[in-house]
Amino acid sequence: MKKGKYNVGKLITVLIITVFTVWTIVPIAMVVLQSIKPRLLMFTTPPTLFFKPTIQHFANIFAKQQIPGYLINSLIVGVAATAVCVLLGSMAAYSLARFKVKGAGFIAIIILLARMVPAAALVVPMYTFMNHSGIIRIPYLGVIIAHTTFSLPFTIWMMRSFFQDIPKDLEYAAMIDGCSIVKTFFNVALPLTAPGLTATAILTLLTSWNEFMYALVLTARTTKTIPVGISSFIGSVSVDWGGSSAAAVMATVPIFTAGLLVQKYLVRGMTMGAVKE
Amino acid sequence: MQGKVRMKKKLSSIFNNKTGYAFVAPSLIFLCIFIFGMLIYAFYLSFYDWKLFDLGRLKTFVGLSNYINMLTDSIFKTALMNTLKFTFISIIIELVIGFFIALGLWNIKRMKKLIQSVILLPMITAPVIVGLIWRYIYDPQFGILNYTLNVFFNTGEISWLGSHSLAFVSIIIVEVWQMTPFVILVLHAGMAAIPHENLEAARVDGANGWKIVKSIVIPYIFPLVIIVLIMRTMDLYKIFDTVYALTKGGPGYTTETIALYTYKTGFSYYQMGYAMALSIVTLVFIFILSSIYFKKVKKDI
Repeated sequence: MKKGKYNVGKLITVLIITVFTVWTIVPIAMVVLQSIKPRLLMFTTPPTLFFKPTIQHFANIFAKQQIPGYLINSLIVGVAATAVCVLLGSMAAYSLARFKVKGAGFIAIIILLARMVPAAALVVPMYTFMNHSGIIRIPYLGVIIAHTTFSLPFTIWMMRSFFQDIPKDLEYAAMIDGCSIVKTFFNVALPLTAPGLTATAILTLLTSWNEFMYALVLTARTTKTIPVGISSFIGSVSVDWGGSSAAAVMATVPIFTAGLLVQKYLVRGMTMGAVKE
Repeated sequence: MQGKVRMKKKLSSIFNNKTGYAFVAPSLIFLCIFIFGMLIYAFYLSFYDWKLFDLGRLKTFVGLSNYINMLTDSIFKTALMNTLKFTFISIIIELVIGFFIALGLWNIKRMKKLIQSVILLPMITAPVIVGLIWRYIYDPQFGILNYTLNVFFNTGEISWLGSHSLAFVSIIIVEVWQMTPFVILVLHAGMAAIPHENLEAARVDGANGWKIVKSIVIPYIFPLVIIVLIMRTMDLYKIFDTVYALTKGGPGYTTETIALYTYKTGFSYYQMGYAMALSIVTLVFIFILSSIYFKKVKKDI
């Protein structure tokens, strides 16, 4: 291979990747820019890129109280669903990773099948059931249950791969010291998977935070989560670009922070543990 | 040494059936009630006809008529075709672009981590917010897309989301924008795991760029391509949020999808029995699609 040819190839590679990165980031940067752009400069042609930033749109949102309320709702739902998923899920994962139970293969298949059932097929019966049983009238409970249904199989799968990564010896040592199996699980095995556990919890929280379909159907006026709240902006986008951009930024900053924190595990999580980086 | 082995054997008997079931039972019970229970419930209710407001009141048994109605329901057919078209077109574009960008990323050294951090942002953004962002971009009057096109080509006010011919393509562009990074990160992770010895050996044998890609990279990452295919099919098939935020299925029914139609049938048209039947059919279709993949995977391995 000639050196010159090689450099041309390299240049094209760098160029293509730069274009792709710019294409990926521009829409996000645009919304951030809109959220701090003064109202008067919002619809100029050509678009104004340099201006004195304003916090007016954020101030408006806080004054109206709605968006902060949606954020709190999202946090309540997300934390509750994550707590249930992590507790039940890591126990089930421990069973699948360590115990030699009869029918373990069958149990694993049930969990995978549960993961494959699309929310679109569950939302109508789920709503009907929750309406009949009265669950829907208990604040947040319906959405928490719904979010648990699709995150639990994920948690189990992730945690199973983390338990498989740690050696059994420490658990044996604890048991020789007279720890019960429950104590061994909570005091030895679970702390050993702490980084994995944290990553799984954050990914579960992220999924719940972003979920829209169940939240749309199962929340009431006062328990709306942030995606549902933002979707109500959409009809009137042309009216208030600044306000809706500011709301979008506020809903997304926590997600970006969380996502970058668990970046190492993101691919593993999104492929249900199939790809380990 | 033998004592230790015996001790281990004795200890591993603690990992017995009973405790094992106790650990997995809460999750299984939850999933059985709220996923499989709900599906059985939907199947049962799909033989009845009732309106959303009639909850709690008597439902009329109508046998198979909800399913029979589906055969002549042209909106259902449109929604199903749209969903399948949408799924396959998006996946192909995402895989092709994703593969080449991943390859490029694998070949550069500087700024790699930064680029990876930047491109993961769209895929963790809530789809509803992605929809909102692209509504600004597609805005016929003030959107940056029309502005940019006008600077270079003077195309006028194109209605990206409002036109019958463009709405479908516009949604695919959004989907590709959001999820191609996922394909890139997975495939890149696969490429990064290729052992250096294999690559060195190939280079010593005189293989150059494309030969290495064809003989080493592609076979090595092939299992990951299958995983990406399965995950993306499952996700795209149930697409709801993005379409809801961008077009709500319009104009007309040009961007209606199965998930959106099921939702509307239940919560906008209040036909709960029919919505249940649609839910069941949605489920059957995804299982058929997945089983085709799994069969294919088995053959290839």
